Amino acid sequence: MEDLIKKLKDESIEGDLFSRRGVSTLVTFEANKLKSIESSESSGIGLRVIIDKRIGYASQYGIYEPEWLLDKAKATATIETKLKLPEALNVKEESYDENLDRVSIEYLTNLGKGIIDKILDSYPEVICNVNISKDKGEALLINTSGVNCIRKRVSLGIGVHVNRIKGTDMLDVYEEITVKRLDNLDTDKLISKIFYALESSKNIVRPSKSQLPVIFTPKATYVLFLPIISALSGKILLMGASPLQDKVGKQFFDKKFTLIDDPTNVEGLAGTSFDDEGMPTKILPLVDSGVVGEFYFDLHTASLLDKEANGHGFRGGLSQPSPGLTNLIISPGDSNVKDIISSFEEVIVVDQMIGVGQGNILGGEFSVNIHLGFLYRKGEVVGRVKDSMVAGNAYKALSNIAALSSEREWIEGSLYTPYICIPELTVVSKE
Amino acid sequence: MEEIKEVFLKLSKEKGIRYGELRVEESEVTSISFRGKELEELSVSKSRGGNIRILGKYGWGFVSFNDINPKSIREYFEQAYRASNLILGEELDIEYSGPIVDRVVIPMNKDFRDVPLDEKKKLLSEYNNIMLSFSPKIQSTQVRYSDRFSRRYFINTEGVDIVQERGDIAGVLFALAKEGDLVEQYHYSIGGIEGFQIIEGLHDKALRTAEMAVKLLSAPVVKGGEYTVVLDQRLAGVFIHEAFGHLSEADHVYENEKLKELMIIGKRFGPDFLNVVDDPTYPGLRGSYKYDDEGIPSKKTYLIKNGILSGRLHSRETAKKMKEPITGNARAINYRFQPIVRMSNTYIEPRNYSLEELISDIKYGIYAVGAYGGQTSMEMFTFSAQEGYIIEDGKIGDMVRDVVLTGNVFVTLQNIEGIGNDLEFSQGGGCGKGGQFPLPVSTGSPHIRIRNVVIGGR
Repeated sequence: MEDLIKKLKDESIEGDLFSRRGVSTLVTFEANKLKSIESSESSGIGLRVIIDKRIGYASQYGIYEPEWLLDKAKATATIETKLKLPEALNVKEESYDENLDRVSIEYLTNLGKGIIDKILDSYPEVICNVNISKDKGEALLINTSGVNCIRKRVSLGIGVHVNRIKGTDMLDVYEEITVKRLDNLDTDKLISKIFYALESSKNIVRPSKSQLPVIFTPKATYVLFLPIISALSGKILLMGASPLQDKVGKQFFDKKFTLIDDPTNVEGLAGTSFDDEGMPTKILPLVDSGVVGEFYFDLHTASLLDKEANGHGFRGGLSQPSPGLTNLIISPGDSNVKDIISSFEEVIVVDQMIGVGQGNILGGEFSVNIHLGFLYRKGEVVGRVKDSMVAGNAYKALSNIAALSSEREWIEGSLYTPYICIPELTVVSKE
Repeated sequence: MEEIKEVFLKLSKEKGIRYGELRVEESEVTSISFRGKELEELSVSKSRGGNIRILGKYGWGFVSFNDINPKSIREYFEQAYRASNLILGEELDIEYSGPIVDRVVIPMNKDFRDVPLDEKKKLLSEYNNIMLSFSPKIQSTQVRYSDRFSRRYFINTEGVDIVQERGDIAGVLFALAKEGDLVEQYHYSIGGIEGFQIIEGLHDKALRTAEMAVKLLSAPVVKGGEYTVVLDQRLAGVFIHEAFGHLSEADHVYENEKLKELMIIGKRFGPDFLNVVDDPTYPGLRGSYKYDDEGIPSKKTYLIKNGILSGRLHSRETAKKMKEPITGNARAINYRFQPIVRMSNTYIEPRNYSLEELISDIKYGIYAVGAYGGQTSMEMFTFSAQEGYIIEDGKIGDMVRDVVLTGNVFVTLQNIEGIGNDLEFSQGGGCGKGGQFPLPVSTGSPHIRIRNVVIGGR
């Protein structure tokens, strides 16, 4: 890589090189049994050049041909830009949980077996599919202005899917946990959530009316956040298409709602002190007590808008940098979820949905099937709600929040959120 | 390649393994996109990688890698072999097939590798400009295009030695309209394996995309409720893919005794006039292939015939376990993944009705057109339309938006009331399963009519 950077400098071409290497192990249990053990090694490199203020890009997986990369990057240099590559940042993020890194295949298979045995002990009629993966990744960034950064990450993820069939009624419960420290791996909590869902789904019930309060569990909240995350992307601002562009600094959402992007959070999987272009990252207030905060940018998008870049240029695989987020953190509320549920005569708790993101996301509209949801009356669970759709507008919903719970959960290791209660949404159920 | 194959086969013999396979895949991709007036991306990428999969007594060992040479192959083989032996439990067997040596090249009418970057860019920019200049209400646009040429080598311990080459194009035209705080969008997606010409001459599609985005601004949100619906070909294709296609993938069923009972061959799922087919041998579609990723020749499978469940899609493992004929539907999106049971070209066979006849006696219903996408949990599913129209007294009337439909596999197929005579395939988008997305598939259907479909809404 150093050779290629030297060659760029010799030809007086500005540019950066980004490489990824990864090693992962995946164990898969199907229908309660260990079915396969996988491992994967990957390596790839992407070269971005800026020639006469035009960006060119080429990448390679599994091959490294410096000549080809340079030729193709030069040949594609057509995208006009004003971006300036960052200078002289030298960061080595090389520490990770070595205990986690050291876990063996046997450890992973035993972990899976342990979870399945516990579930089958209490619910012998169910079928469990479990995936457990350990992923180790390394990202390296070098540019022609003296940036030389490295980031190593190790994580362990468990996904559990439990299926129960009675007649033609199917119940599927999904839970996951992803951690970067082995000490934080709490499989008992994951199992207790599954038990709760199995226990609460014994009866199928219908709400008594079509307009009622709805509580989204932490793993269901993203249906509400998706529009905001899209609307605050620098790319959408560039299109002039963000419904939030003229709302910055204004009270647009409920005062109880605060959403930040926090690359410094030590528990979040996506934490880092530099982005994939070599800019230092910082905490971004996206929504602060209901007031619309900042958009997030990569260097090129920021330059097109004459905005200051804010360290949020990230790359999916070896794609070119685009605006991206790290750890999304939502501030908690005051009451615990049990009290919030009890405060209503009738309320639906939505936990899993089908069809999220298939529609006009930017407009905030959602209309999703309640794949797993529970009806509560006077604080007591009465059963599962199914064959029903819940619909609304995410911007409107988040501008009138009934309550956020005091307890929060990590979702996929990079979203930390409470339960969110919306005072009224429309639920349509099959007759 | 020859040397690598030799190493693999020699080691397989030495270890006496029951079944093993080696895949190597080379590909080259060009991506071009516009966002608003700006050219957003112009890039090329190249990739080479492979995997080894070995069947142990009780399970699979699988290793994927980028580093490919005789020495590394030896190490990866050992790794996959060791992994396959770590699994204990119930004995696992698969369906075997005979040796095949073949080279399959899908010809392109106009090979996209011969089209200069500038020409590709110019064409896409024409579409972009048509959309941008359509109306002041068009706030922005996106045009995304990518072409991928891939060569897949497959060998296994049964003497299968296949090379398959193909070019695949995926593209989308996207228009965004804005009025005050209201933002609406419309897209047209396209894909195909027959060459660059499929992406040419889309000027009228660009115009319609912009027009529809603007029209949606003044359409009200659909009122939630239960409706009789008529689906156009694109949405009906997504409907059958989600509502039934996934449930006919045997890997969902083969280890689940209760689901097996529900999905027993011979059970009625729909009316007499409903036939549903999965056919990778259908020529020229994105889901077409000659051999699947386990080296099994592809074939046409009736999933539903005359309303009765008549077949399902299989891999070597699921076919053996369920004692049903193997269908050649084990597919992997790339070398990083194990093949799993997937659809190819899935469609509803045409019948007699015209669109007018399907609509004529509907008092009040919804005509749902185009597809954003769909998702299934096997029992329940959703699919969403790009545009909807109220049907009143047999006539198509005012436009509505945000039409998302939901159904239940054991109820909704039985509620199909009529099937049209106008089968069309759509080839945009792709299918996701088990983290493998977007797999090229196509879906097809004539117009269809279904009663009592729940539509979400405010």
